[in-house]
Amino acid sequence: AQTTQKEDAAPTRSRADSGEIKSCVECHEGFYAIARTKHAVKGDARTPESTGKSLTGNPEDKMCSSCHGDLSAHLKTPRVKGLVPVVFGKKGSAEPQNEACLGCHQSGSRIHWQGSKHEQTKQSCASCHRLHAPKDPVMVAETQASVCFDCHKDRRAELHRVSTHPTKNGFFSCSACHAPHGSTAQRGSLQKNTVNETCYTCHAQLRGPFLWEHRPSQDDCTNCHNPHGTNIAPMLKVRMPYLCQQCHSTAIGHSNVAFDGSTLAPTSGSAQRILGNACANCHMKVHGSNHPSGARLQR
Amino acid sequence: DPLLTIKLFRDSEVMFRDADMSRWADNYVELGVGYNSKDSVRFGQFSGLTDKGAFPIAGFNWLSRDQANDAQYWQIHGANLGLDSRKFKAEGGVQGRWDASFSFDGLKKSQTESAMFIHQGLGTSNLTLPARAWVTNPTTMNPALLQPFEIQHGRDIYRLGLKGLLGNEWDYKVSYREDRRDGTRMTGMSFAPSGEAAILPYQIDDRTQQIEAVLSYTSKLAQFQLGYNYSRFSNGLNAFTVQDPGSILGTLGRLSLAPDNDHHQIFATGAYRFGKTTRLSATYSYGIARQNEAFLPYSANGTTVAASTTAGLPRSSLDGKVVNTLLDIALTTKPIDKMNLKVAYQYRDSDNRTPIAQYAYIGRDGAAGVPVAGATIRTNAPVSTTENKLSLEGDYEIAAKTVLRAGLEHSNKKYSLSDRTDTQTNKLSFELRRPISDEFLGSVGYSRTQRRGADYDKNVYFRNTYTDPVFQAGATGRLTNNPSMRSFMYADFNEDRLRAAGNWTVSETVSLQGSVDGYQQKMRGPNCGQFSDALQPLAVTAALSGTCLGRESADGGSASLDLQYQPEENLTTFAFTNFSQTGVRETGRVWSRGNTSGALETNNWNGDMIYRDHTVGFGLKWQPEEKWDFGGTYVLNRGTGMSGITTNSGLAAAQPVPDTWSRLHTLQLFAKWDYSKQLSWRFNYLYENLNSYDWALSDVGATSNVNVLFTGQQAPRYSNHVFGVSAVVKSW
Repeated sequence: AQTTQKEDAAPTRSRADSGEIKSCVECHEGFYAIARTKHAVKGDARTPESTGKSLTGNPEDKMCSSCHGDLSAHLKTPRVKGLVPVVFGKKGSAEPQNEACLGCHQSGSRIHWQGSKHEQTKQSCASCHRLHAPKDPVMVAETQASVCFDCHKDRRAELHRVSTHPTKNGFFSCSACHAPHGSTAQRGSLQKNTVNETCYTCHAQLRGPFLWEHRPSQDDCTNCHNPHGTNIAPMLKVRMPYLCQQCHSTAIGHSNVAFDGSTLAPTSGSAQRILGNACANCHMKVHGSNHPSGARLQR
Repeated sequence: DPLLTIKLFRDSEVMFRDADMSRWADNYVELGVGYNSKDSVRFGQFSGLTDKGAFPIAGFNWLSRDQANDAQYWQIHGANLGLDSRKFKAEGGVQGRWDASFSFDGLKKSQTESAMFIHQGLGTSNLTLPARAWVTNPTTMNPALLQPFEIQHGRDIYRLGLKGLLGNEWDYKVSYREDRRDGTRMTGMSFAPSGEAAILPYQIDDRTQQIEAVLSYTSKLAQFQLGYNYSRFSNGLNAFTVQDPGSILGTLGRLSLAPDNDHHQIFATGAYRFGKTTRLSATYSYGIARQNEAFLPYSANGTTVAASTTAGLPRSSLDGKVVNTLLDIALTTKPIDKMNLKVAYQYRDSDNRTPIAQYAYIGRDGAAGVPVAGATIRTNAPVSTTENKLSLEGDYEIAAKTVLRAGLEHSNKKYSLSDRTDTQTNKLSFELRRPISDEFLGSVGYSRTQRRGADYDKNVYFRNTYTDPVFQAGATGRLTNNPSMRSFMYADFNEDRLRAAGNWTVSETVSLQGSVDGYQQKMRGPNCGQFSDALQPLAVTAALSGTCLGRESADGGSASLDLQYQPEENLTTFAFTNFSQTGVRETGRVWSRGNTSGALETNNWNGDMIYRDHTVGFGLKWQPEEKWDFGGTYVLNRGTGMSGITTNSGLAAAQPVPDTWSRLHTLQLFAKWDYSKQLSWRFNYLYENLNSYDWALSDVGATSNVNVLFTGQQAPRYSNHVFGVSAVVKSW
């Protein structure tokens, strides 16, 4: 979708005006990296290479009109703007671009494209995908996030925090959790139906069902965690014990205590509930306990 | 230019990945050597580069296509092969007919190297002691007994995939994934009869297997998918057993570990296009999550300590079962040329069919047992939820490229055995996207969300789970959770969100992107202190009435600015900054069951938790001549956490809580020299420095507290330099 100056090089005035253009590659040399992509595989009957028709007579141009539409007028007067039916990238409108892609790629997760957040915000397929690149960065785990961060700047910043998933290390792509083409998830366009189902892909040990549930955990992991990263390990939104005190103020326990600076001295009576793992020093089974005596999530 | 963003992110990563996209396309073998300047478990927490010294750099990519019929292909790829965290993938097939793949990801997760422990058998699921560690409490222990132990575990992920076409319109996909984890993680654990707790490493040895099979139909008008998902978690360990370090009897504590469980799900998704502009899609899924791990006995100490717990378990295992159902129907249409509409309905049901039974509550393994008919019998309370949601969204192009979008959403959620029986949430949103000029595109959006619901009853869970007479009707002081508490996941709230963003192409060489957003969530009652529940004793009610407790409000915002500057074709530069702040204000109250007098508002306290992050980064890539590439990036994240506690007149004046903070610097430099078309040399340098302060860890000695044996683990800090040189042989 991105162009370089080389790719944009216009034909010389004399050649353009004389109608001597014999091949798209004459002007758009840089774009021909597409010849090294899956779209150019001749043995696959579905590809533009197999289904396209060369308007110049040059077999190298078969693919172009498959996606860009009827280029006859453009070939006749290449310097006249607006004669390419489908222009990919920021210069073109999203709708015709996406129609061109969805003509072949409506299956799989694209079933949910219509009405998805990216569709609603007029993103084109080429906003994220580089169709002329031999290796599309958004399809590679190590480079995918950098494409997403083109718009999602906050997420990029969160990823540079101290407690994160291993996205920076190339082991955890955005699409491990998110479905950028849309989904039936309750929010966040997730791969699975719910936040928790998505998290259980890697953290199935937390799925339960447990004998003793902890409601916020079973309800939504993001009640306590920010999966994009925080500076409070493990990716907590608020540090304990204050995190827990948003819901707990019990009479027989200690969750109603004002944990101020005086409780930080290790010798103070309340230090055991604020230092170290804080509440989880004793109530460590915060995702649920399956011990018959685990009602207080201590076992 | 997103290319620039790619460089930004990739070059700010650890050095072992390349900034040169071409290597992804070419066949190559990379071999070299790197050097890490220091031992640091935390530095190598995901890369596996935890040890000082030299390490191999190795990777390769080999793609082969049959030139006569290039649909046949195979490819193998390996990365970071000299490290514990590494990747390998092999795939092949006939494009357009079938593809098969296998991949392996090895990932190491390191937690800390500064933790100290006294137990023997560290790294196993059975920790023992040579002798009682202390007489009265952890502060009396001899610190010389402590020994260091690195907490880390590995995750190996194996994937197998097969997909193919069944004619022109049908295709299938089958995949298998297996995650194997082993190593250690940290946990707290509390003991009896010593009454103390300890932070300890527990062993991990588990496996998760997942299978997905999908059959799809695709035509111009209709698409359909039928699929099955299976996930099974198998734990090689069911318990973590530890000798009580403060018990003269050597009594045991035992922690239940994650139980084996599985999840089956079938789903069907379909869509059909009516005419050119109207599309109807529907999804149905039905899943069952099950868990039936055999229960541990009440006590690890048999009848020796918990002698009076004689009734045994009500059942040998949970037979837990949750049935999840989803129905999603959406209609998208374009009633007029410049308008798009979407109306959607969702039904979600989570039906928890786990059997309910009574279990004896014994706080810790070594605690004295209680008769079954006694005061601490608890009943489990599996929660079910049902949600119905209806939404309407649409946009209209009010002028050229100027789009106004609006959305309305209503959700009704019902809960069993919960603080509320039902809640209703409504959301209204607007967004305007408008080009200010040919070079500037701006957008602004606003949304308001409201949640309301049934009467709030904070103690419904406790009344359902306690059979203890003290919690039953007619008994005074039976409250265990302050009835004025409003858990944020159920409470009423109003939430406003505002966002503005702009893209400005200043010139052919300079572009700017900026955005700001903010939100404010105000929690509301209802009816704090006005209990409609007749079971609440009036005296206590009066004493506890007044302000709602728990989260009072939450707010936050962020601002980002990106600058991209390309003065010459062979020089690209960037800089960015992001500032974000999130805050939570909560109210607590010091109280007890004995409080039957009024005016407890004077015992209120407030906590203002504020977290600020500032991230800045800049970098460049320069190609002075064809054979050389140079580049570098620098990113700094500064995080600060503030916990402001204030108290009312009934409590002692609050002492300030110090701020927690972290500073993470990452500098990366690289150079590439193309010696020839087939051979390149790569030179990399990475410097990463983390400094942090956390009052929960910093300067907290292992034996400094009378009730918890800590580990002496400190807030993470490291400073590592990594150098690497490698040769890349390309193309054949």
